[in-house]
This record gives sequence, C-alpha cells and structure tokens, in this order.
Amino acid sequence: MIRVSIVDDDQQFRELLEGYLNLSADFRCCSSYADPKEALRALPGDRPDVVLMDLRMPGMSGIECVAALRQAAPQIRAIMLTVFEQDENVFQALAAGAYGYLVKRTPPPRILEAIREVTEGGSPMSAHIARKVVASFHQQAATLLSPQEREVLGRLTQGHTYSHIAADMGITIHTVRNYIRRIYEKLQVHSRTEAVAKFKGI
Amino acid sequence: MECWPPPWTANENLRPARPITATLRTADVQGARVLLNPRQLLTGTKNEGDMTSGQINVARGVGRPKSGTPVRFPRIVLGWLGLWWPLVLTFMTVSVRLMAADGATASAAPITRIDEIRRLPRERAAMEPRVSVTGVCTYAAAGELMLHDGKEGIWVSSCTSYSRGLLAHNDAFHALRPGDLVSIDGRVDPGGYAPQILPEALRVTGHGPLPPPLRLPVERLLAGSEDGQWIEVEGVAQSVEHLADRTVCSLVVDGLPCLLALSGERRRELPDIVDAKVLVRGNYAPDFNTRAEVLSMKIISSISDAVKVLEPPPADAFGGTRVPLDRLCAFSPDSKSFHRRVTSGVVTFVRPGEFFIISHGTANVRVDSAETSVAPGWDVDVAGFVDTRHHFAALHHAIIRKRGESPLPPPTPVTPEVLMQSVSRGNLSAPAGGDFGGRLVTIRGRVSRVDWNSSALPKAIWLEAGEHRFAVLLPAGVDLSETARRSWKQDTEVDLTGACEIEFRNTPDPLGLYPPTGFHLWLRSPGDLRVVREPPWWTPAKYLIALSLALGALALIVAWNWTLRRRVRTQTAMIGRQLQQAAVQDERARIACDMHDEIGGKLARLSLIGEITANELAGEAAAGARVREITRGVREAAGGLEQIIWSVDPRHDTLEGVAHRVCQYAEEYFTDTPIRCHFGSFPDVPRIAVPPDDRANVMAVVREALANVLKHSAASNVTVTLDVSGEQFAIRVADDGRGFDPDAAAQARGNGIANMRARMRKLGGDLCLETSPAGGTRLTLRWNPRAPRSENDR
Repeated sequence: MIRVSIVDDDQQFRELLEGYLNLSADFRCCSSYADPKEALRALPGDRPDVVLMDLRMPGMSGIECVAALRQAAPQIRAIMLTVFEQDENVFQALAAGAYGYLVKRTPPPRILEAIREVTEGGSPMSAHIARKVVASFHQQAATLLSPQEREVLGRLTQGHTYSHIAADMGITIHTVRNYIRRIYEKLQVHSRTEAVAKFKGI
Repeated sequence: MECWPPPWTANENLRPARPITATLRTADVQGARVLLNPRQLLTGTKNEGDMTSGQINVARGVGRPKSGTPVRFPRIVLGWLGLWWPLVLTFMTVSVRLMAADGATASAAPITRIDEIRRLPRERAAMEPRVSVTGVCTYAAAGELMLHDGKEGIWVSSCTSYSRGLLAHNDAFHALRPGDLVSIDGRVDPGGYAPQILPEALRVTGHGPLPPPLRLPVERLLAGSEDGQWIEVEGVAQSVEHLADRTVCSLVVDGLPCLLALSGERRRELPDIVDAKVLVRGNYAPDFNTRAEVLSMKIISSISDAVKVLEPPPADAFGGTRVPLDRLCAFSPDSKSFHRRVTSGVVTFVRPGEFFIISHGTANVRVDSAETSVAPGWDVDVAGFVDTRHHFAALHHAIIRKRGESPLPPPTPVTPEVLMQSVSRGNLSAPAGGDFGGRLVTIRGRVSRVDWNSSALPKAIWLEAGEHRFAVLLPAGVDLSETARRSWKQDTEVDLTGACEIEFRNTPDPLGLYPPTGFHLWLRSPGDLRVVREPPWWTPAKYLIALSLALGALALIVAWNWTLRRRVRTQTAMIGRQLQQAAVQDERARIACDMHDEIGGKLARLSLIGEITANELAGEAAAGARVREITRGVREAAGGLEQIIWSVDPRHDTLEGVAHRVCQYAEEYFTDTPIRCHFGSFPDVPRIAVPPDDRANVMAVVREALANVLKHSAASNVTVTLDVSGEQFAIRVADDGRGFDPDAAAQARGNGIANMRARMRKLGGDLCLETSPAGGTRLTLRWNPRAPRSENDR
C-alpha cells in the first residue's frame, strides 16, 4: 500500500484524484491539503510515502513547500503536479528536492505508474529536464558527475528511453534509475550551493 | 715772390682801364680789382717770397667799386696801361689758347685756378681731377678753410679728406688763421652744394693781408652762385646767440633774413649789436638742402673784426615810438623797417621759453621770446622785431618790461565755423574768424583721437566739432593727473579753453581772399579741458563684440535647445516603445497566466474526470469509448493551449527558450508514436532575445516539419539537431523515412513547403530541403537571430 498525500488548491481536481487513488489497488490517499503551509505542518505526521504537490498555489509556492518538506521530512518524496510541462518552475522544484513531476492532464494510470516508480527509488527524467540539468551543471558536470552519470544524462538529452540506455550501456534499468536518482541529488546539492554562491555574490 | 691775382669784381660799375705793368706794394693792391699775370699763369711758376714786396703785373683792367676806396695807381702807370691795352689783350688770348691746348694734351696736369674748379660741371667734378692751388686763407675753423686765389674763393674740406683717408691728421690745418698764404695739392670734390677741394698736402708759405671783399646785391647771394666768395654785407642785427663753437647772429639784409656764423677766439667780444646797423665781412656759405638746392643766406667768418657797427642800437630799447598792438604792420608814412618796435598789452598765454601772446582790445599778437619769467596777467611793454612770415604780424627776439598786472580778458565762446569764416580784407568793421587769432576762446568738441607722446603725456589731442577737426596742444612739461588722463578718451565731449592759432592760405584765392585753412588750440593747463559728457559706454567695436557674443549665445541656445528637444523626442519615443513593449509583455504574461490557471486547470480536471468516468463506464463499451474520445480531445486541447501559452508568455522570448521548446515539443510530439525521437547534443545557445513573431514562425515551421515526418515519412527514427555556427542558428529535422520527390510533393501537399519557406524568409533565413526516396528527408531551418530587421520584415 502506497500512502499518498495531495497538496493542491484546486479542490475539484484534488477530490477527483483522491477518489481515483483510493479506488486504485495499492494506493491510498491518506491526506489532502489546499493550503501548502498547513500541509507542511501536518505532512510529517501523516507519514505519506509520496506527496503530489501542485506547483502553483496561493500563499506558498510548491517549490518552497518542497524545499521546506525536504528539511522537515526527508523520507517523504514529492512529485510535482503541473498544468504544463514547459513551466520553468518544474525544473526549480526538481532542483529543490522533488523526485519527479506530472502534467495534470496525464492519464491517471500513468500517474499511478509514476508514483510507483518514485516509491521504488526511481526518478523520472525526460529529455527536456535532462537538458536543463546539463545546462544547470554547465562546465561543472565533469567534476560533479561520474562518467556513467554523464553518459546516462547525455543519452537522456538525446531522447533515449531508460530501457534503451540500459541496453546500450549494458546495465539494468534499475541501475539507470539509480544513476538518475544520484544525478537528482547532486543537482539538489549543486543548486543549493549555487543559490548560496549567488546570495553571497561569489 | 708770390703773386696772386685779386678777385674779380662783380660790381657793375667796373670801368675798363688801360693796361699797365707796375710794381706795387700790397697795401696798394687792396682795393684793386683785376691783377693778372698771364705769363705766370702759362708757366705755372710759383715764386716764393714776401708778398709785401712782390711784383704784380696788371694785365687786364682796373675797376673801381662804386663805393669802394679809389685805386691809388700813379697816373703814369694808368697811362701806360692804356697804351699797352690792345697788346696785352692779344697776348692774353694767345695764352689762354695755349693753356687750353696744354690742358687737353696733358690731362693729368693739376688744375691750378679756383675759378676753373668752380666752373667744372658736377659730373666732371665727380671724377675728382687733381688740383694744385695757391692762395690766401680767408676762413679757418676746425680744420676747414676757405681759400682765395686772388680771384675767387673755394671751400677746402680737410675733414672730408680725413674721413676719406686722403689726408693724415695734420696740425697745420688747425693752426691756420685767416691771412695765411697756403699751397694746397689735392682733388676736386663735387661737394654738398658747390665744388670743393679735398686737400692732400698743405704748405703754409707766409702771411698776408686779406683780399678786398665783394659787395654783392642780395639777388646774387640768393642765386647761390657766389658760394665761397669773400664778401661784405650791410644789415640790421636782430639777435645774437653764443653757442659752444660759434656765435650765431640773425641779420636782416635788404629785408631778407641772413645768418651770420662767427668762429674764432674773439667772437665773444662782440659788442651789443641787436637792433644795430652793421657791416659784416666773411665768406658766403648759403645753407642748402639734400638736393643741393640753395635755401637761405648765410655768412661765415673767423676774422676778429667781422662785424663793424655802422649805427649803434638805441640806448633805450623801449624808447622808440610806440605802435598800438593792432597797428604793428599797418600803414605808416614813416615806417622804419627791420628795427625793433615798441608796443604793449596784457599777456594772455605763455608757452615758457617759446612764445607768449599779448592782447590789447581785439588785437592778439604772438611774441616769440626766450623769456621764461613772463606770466599770464602781466601788463608788459614789448620791444621786438616784426615777423611778417605769418598771416598776422608777430614779434620775435623781443624784450619785455613789466608795467603791472591786469585782469585777463574772459575767453570768448566760439564754434569752429566762426573761426573758419573768411576774412574780409581791409574791412575792419566786419567781424571775421581771423579776429580770433591768438585770442582766448572756448570751444566745445568731441575727442576723436589722442596721440600719446609717452604713457603720461599726450602729444596732441584731436577733436571734432561740427565738420571740423582740430588739434589741441598741451602745455609742455605739465604733470597730468590721472583724472585728466582718463578723461581724454575717445568720444568724450569736452569744453576747451585756450589760445587759438589760425592758419591761412599762403596765396590769395580767386576772390583775392586769404581764407583760414585750419586752427589749433593752445591749452594753458590741463584744467582748460573740462569734460561735459563721458563717452557712451558703447563703441562700434564694443557694440560688435557684444552683438557677436549675443548672437553666439543665441546660436548656442538654439543649438542646445534643438539638441535637447531631439534628445527628449528620442527618449520619449524610446520610453514610449519600452512602455508599450512592457505593457504588451505584461498583457501577454497576464493572458498566459490566466489561460494557464483558468483553462489549463479546467482542462486538466476535465481529462481526469473523463478518465475516471471512462473507468466507471467499464461495462458500457460504447459510452466508455466516447468518454475516452472526449478525454483525448481535452488533452489535445490542453496540448494546443500549452503551445499557445508558450508562444504568448514573454519569458520565453529568447533563443534558448526556442531551442528548449523545439526539443520538448518534438519529444512530446513523438511520445506514443511509432517514431522514436532523438536529439543531437544540445548546443551552447547564446542569450539572444527573439521577438514573439519570430518565435511563432519558427515553431510553426518546426511543427509543420514534425507533422510531415509523422504523417508522410513512415520513418522509425527522427533526429532533431540544433546547431550554432557563427551568427547562424540552425534547426535540422532528419528522418530515415522514405523520402519524396520535392516537385511531386509540392503538388500533392499544397503549399506546405512554400509556407514554411515564406515563414523563414520573414525571419531573414532560409529553408533547406534535402530528400531522396531512399535516404530519408533532411529539413534545415537556418537564420541569423542577431540580424537587425525592420519592422516591416517582421
């Protein structure tokens, strides 16, 4: 049973998704919040495995909420919900600590797949996000990322699927996911460092 | 024995005498007029000996001056002369001819006769022929001498010889005295006026009496032909001035001025001769100008008894008859010319040491006098010589006697027009400008120029009054106050008080009048200039400067204003454009946000609802399929909306945004399709702003290209590659499909390719299509995002 929490100010969407999750086997919506601040207070107590968090909310953005939650309850994995994938904030949320993102119009079965993948330790990364990650690391990718991670990332930017990458590199999909997870973690660390550096004017 | 011919007589009353040969004593020779020995002239014999016992052969004639002493020849001698006259004459003619022939054949033979030297043409004299003359010295002073050979006299300039190196310094020249008999060898020199002798050797042979002087009429003297001759004149002495090296007396000889310059040790023993009638003996040496033209009469003399008083001056200089000041030169039946006249008046103006003006009634007379003690207001007796060289008679060499003091007559206010009125000759009742000559007047005028002598003293001030311009002469040696100096500025209007001196024409005009030609004003003190009005602050020069400054300032202001206006216009336009752009961007951002929140959220919800509903309608296949159809439509609408929002959102107005969007769109587009989408390595995209229209065009072309790949290529792989090379940005879409014939495709697919090309042209770029039926299709979009394009191109 995968415990899922939803943080979204769109009440109808929240209720629909809540109902859909509860109908699905292996998924249970343990809590849902319209207010990210309230969610931030209550989520550690709810102990969900995954929290689906809307990117744009009044009062507090999903990015801030993810970043705060990352500090308060690191074991909760956040997946961002966004109306459009092109949203610039998606990448920022990933850099802040989210493990993936979902476009809201995605067919619900794919949403469930994504949640499951995250709980299994995977992190979905599209070619588009991969390019953003490459752009974020700039020249430091060579020092921060291992050769394998760089190869996985490069292949992702060229539009290869996980299975293709695994086949081409002669590794399992699980290993590919691990690489991607590590890339995400390094991205988060790198992003924080970069934010600090920017703040200090370095 | 020395024999020298006495001078020619120029006297018209010379009577011919019979030829005679006689032995004479020199005492007897005095007064003789002609003595000539042709034989001696012919042979050039020069016998040395005592002149007093010399033998003289009279060979031509004997003259008796009109007023001279009669020649005391014995009657028998005269008779002999008369008998031998024709014979002597014949002999003389032959001698002269022989002499001429001698001179022609032997040109090197020196000239021995002074009359011959004097008659040399100037060109001939300039060739400096040699001379060897013998005669008596009639004048000697400071190495210069006059030599007289018994017939004529000539100037001998040892100074010129010294300076030309012809003669070493010779004490003999300085020791010479009048009466010394000398022989001189030397050259002829054209001289400044008449030929002279440059001595090269001098020998004193004795001492003798001076020759008898010539008495010449004034016209002969004025003609200048008698330069160097030994003469005597009668005249009235008007002044005596002892200088360091000579004593200068001014004489009036036959009514004309004649200077007398006395040298010699005893010149200071001269008795008081001013106003005396005197007889003067000396060498005639007229003054001449730089063109060697005779100027005026002058006699030089170095003998001790050069001046003999014929009529002594009056015992009392003021004792003579008094003449009223206005009748100095007026008609009188018993005028006694050239002697002092006595008059009286009040001194009105003094130029110390130069002249003063005395006034009596309307008459004002200038008195030239070296007297320095005289002062304005003095009532004086004046005894002076009448100076008629001016239009109005003046007095000179005057002596004064103070009688008392009188109040000065008040200055008369006049205008230049009044002063310049023509004078009516002889009409004493009619007032005329000339009446103001010498009078104290007050004139108002404007300073037109100041001639500064030095920084402190102006030489003259030029004034303008009406149409007249006249000079104002300042008192000499007066220290001027700063105020006075400052008041003499151009265009200052001043009142001037001073003695007026009027100039007249020298010759009468056609009407017989002597009109005034000008006048000047003698100021008594700087106080005689009273400033009436300061000059206006502006002068033409200042006005021009001010005007040009003002024009310059105006031009600057206009230019500055124009620049400012233009800058404001540009800035306003720019700000307007920016505001407009910002407003448009805000609007676009707001629309994007609204569509995102409102429609995007709703579509997401609807797709979820549709999905759930389809699941719930699991039993009813038809209804479930329709709901899924609706759901897919909603999702596609959301996709389209996303594309619209992307193109509207100003945050994506960058080349980087375009690049990411192209890849993202392709990735998304080929998701769930049989075609796998690959990407080339993502290039380092420069940060360049891309206008929304360009963005839309690029995306439209890319969408069309991807759609063509999906619909027509039957490919299994498509690769999207972005490339930055130089200024160009390229997007390449390559598939491994079946390719096509572009010509056929153009017909089959309508305007698809043409539209794509047209859109790329709007970007200023191009579209490259490479396709072959076997090798797939490669479509390349290329444009320069930096190239500036006009609004119309967009």
